[in-house]
Amino acid sequence: MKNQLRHIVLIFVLSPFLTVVYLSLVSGWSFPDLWQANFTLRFWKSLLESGSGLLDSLRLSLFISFSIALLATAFGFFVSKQLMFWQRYQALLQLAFYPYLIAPVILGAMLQYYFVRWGLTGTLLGVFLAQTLFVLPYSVLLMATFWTDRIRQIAFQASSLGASNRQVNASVLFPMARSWLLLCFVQCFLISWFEYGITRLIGVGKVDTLTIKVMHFVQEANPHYAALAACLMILPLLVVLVINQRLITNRNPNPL
Amino acid sequence: MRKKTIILIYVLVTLGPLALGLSYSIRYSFGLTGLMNEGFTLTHWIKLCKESDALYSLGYSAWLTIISMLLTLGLSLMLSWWFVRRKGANGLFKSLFLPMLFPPLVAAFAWFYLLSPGGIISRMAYHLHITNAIDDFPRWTNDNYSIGIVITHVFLIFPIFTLLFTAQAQKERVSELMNAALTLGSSKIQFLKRIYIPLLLLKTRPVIWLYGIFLLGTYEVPLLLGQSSPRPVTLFITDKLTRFDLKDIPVGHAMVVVYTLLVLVVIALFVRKKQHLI
Amino acid sequence: MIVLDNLHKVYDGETVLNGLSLEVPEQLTLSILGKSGSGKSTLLKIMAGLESADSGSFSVHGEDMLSLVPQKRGVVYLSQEPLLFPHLSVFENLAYGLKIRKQDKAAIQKDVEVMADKLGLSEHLMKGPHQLSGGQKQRVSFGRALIINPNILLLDEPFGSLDTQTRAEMQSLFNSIRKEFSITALFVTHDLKEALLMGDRVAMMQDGNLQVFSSVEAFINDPGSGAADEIKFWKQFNL
Repeated sequence: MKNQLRHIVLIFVLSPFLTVVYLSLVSGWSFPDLWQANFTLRFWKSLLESGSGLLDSLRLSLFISFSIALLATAFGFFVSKQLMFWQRYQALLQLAFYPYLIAPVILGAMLQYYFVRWGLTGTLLGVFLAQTLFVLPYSVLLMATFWTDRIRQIAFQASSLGASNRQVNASVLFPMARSWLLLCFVQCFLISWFEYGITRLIGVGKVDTLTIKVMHFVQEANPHYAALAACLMILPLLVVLVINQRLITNRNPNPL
Repeated sequence: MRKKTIILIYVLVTLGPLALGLSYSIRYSFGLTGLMNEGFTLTHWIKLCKESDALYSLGYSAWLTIISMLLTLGLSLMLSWWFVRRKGANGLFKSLFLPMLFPPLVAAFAWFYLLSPGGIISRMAYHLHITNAIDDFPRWTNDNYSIGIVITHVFLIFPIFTLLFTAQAQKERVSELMNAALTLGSSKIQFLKRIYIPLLLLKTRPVIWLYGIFLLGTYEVPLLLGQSSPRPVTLFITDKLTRFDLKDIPVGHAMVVVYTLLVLVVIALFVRKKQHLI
Repeated sequence: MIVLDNLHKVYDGETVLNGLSLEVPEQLTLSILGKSGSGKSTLLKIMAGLESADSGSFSVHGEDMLSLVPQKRGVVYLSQEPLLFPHLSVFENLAYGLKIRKQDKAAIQKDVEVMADKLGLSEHLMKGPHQLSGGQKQRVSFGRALIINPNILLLDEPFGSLDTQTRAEMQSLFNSIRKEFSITALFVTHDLKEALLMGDRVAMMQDGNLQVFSSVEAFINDPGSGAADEIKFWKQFNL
C-alpha cells in the first residue's frame, strides 16, 4: 500500500475523535473560525457544576450499563451452561439470534404498548428491561462459545471425581471461564453504553443517559456540550482499550 | 427440574418479547387492536403497499446497507491484504481500534461536524481558499446521496472487517498459499482475484450477513445525518408510531411486521448455526 | 541443465548458503540430505523465487532465473503442507495453473481428468480439500504442480507429515510419475532411506554448501554420509 493511502486511512480513523475533543475545547465557534476559535476549559470545568447534569448522566449510564452487564454475564453463563449440556442445543441457541438482530428501536416500538400498559415508560426499570431484551440473548450467544467439548469433558471429569455442581463451578468452570466472563461483561456493557434508540423510546426523555444527553445537546445546537458528553462516553473506553485491547476488539456486538 | 426451568426461562426471554411484540403489531396492522380499531381489515396493508414512501424506505435501507457494505468490504480487503503481507505498520493497525469506541450516535455527531457546510473540513477549505463562502461547500450531510451516512457506517464497521479479514487470512495461511500460487504461475493480481478475495469472502460470509442485518436496522446515524425523505425503515416506523395522526399507527405496525419477517428470514437462511460469530 | 553457481545467502548475520554450486542434468531427481537448519529449504525457496539470494546465479537451459518473478520461472515449490486452496474443489485446485494460463475449458477438463486418473483422484474431484486424507491432499498438490508441466519440481520434505504406510505409497507413486513425466526435481529430505529411494543422485547439505555424489554407491561409500553406519546397523540383525 502506498504511504498516501496509509495516511488517508489514519486521518479517516482519527479525525472523528479529534473533532469531538476539539469541539469540547472551543467556544464561540462561528464560521470560518478554526484555529482562531477561543480555546477554553470552560465546558470541562462545568462538569463539576450541576447545571448541565452531565455528571448525573454519567453516573446513570454507568449504573445502567454496569448492572445490565453484571446481570447479563451471570445469565449468559448459567443459561449457556444448561443449554450446551442439552441434547439439541443448536436449535435452542439459534433462538437468541432473533431478538439480538432485530433493530433495538423496532423491538422497542413493537413492545411500547406493553411498557405503557405496565407503567414502565419513562422509568429506570423500563429502560433497564428494554435493554435486557437484546443484551441477554447476546450474552448467551457469546458465553456459548466457551462450552467446547473439552470444557464439557473436564466438567464431567470433575463430577465423576465426586465434585458437586457447586464445586465444579467454583473449582473448575469459573476459573476456566474467567476471561470469557470478563469479555462478556465488557461487551454487554458496551452494548448498553452505546444504546440510544430503545432508551429514547421507552425512557421518553426522562431517563437521561449519556447518549440521550448527546442527542439533546445536538438538537439544542450546542456542539460543545454534546462533544463533552461524547468525550465522557469515549474516554473511559479508551482506558479499557489501553489496559486490555482484546476486551474491546475481540467480539462484535452490534456497532450500529 | 432446575435445568428445565432455566431452559424455559431462556426460551421465554428470547422468544417471549418478540412473539408478544410481533403478534401485537400483526393484530394492530389488521385492525384487531388499537385505539381506532374497527375489526379485521386489510385497509392498512393496502395503504402500506400504496404508499410510495413505505416501499421507498425499504429500498433506501437496502441501498444504504449495500453501498456501505461494499465500500467497507473493499476497504477492509485492501487493508487486510496490506497487513498480512507486511508485518509492522503497528501504529495504523492499532488506530483501527479507535472507531470501535464510538457509539453510533457519537460517530454521527462527529462526522456531522466534520462534513457539514459549517463543519471543520468546510472551514479548512475556506482557509485554503478552495471555497469563498459557507455556501460554496457541497452538501455531504443530510444530502441527497447520503454521503455522510455511508461514511459514518464505513467508519463504524470497516475496522471490524479489517481485523476479521486479517485474522482469517493468517488462519488460512495466505502468505504460504500465495507462494504456492506464484510458483504455479499466478501473478499477484490473479492471486488476489482468484484466491484471496473469494476465500475471505466465502469464509466470512455469515459475518457479512450479520452486519448486513445490523446495517438494515441502522437508526441513529440516518437520524442525525439523513434527510426526512428518503428515510430508512427504522425511521419510517418510529415516525409512524409516534406521530399524532392515529391513522398512521396501523401502517407503522404493518411495516414492523414486514421488517421483522424480513430479518427473521435472513437469519433463518444465512446466520443460523453460527453462534461462533458472536 | 540446471546450473546454480556460487550462491550466497546470509540471514541475520548467519551464513546459510556459502558459495553453493550445483549442476543437475534434465530429467533427473537429485535427493538433498541435510539436518534441519542446514539451508535446504532456503536453497529451494531461492530457486522458486520466494526468497532472494545475496549473490550468485541460477539458470535453466542457460536462461537466467534469478531476474525472473516466481510466476515466470516454471519452478514449482512443494512443501510438507499440501497448501491446497481451501475454498476450491479438488478439480478447481488441479485446474488452477491452467486457468491462470487461460487455457480453454475443454482442454482444462481433459487435462484435469487425465491427471486425476493417474493420481487416483477421479472419485474425489468434486470434494473440498477438508474432505481429503493427508495422502490425498498431497496427491492433489502434486497434480496441481505437474499439470502445468514445470521446468523443475522442488520438493521440500513432501511426505514428512504422512504416516509410514501412506508415505511408502506416495514414494512409489512419485517414482513412477517422475519417470512418466520426465521430471527434473530436487527432493529435500532428512531421511536417508528416502533420499536413496527417491534420487537418481544424492547430495548432502552441510555448512551452506552442497556435496554431490557422482553415484549412489559413491554416497554409500563416503564415510561422512552416515550411510555405511546405517547399513552396518541393519546388517547386525541379519535381515
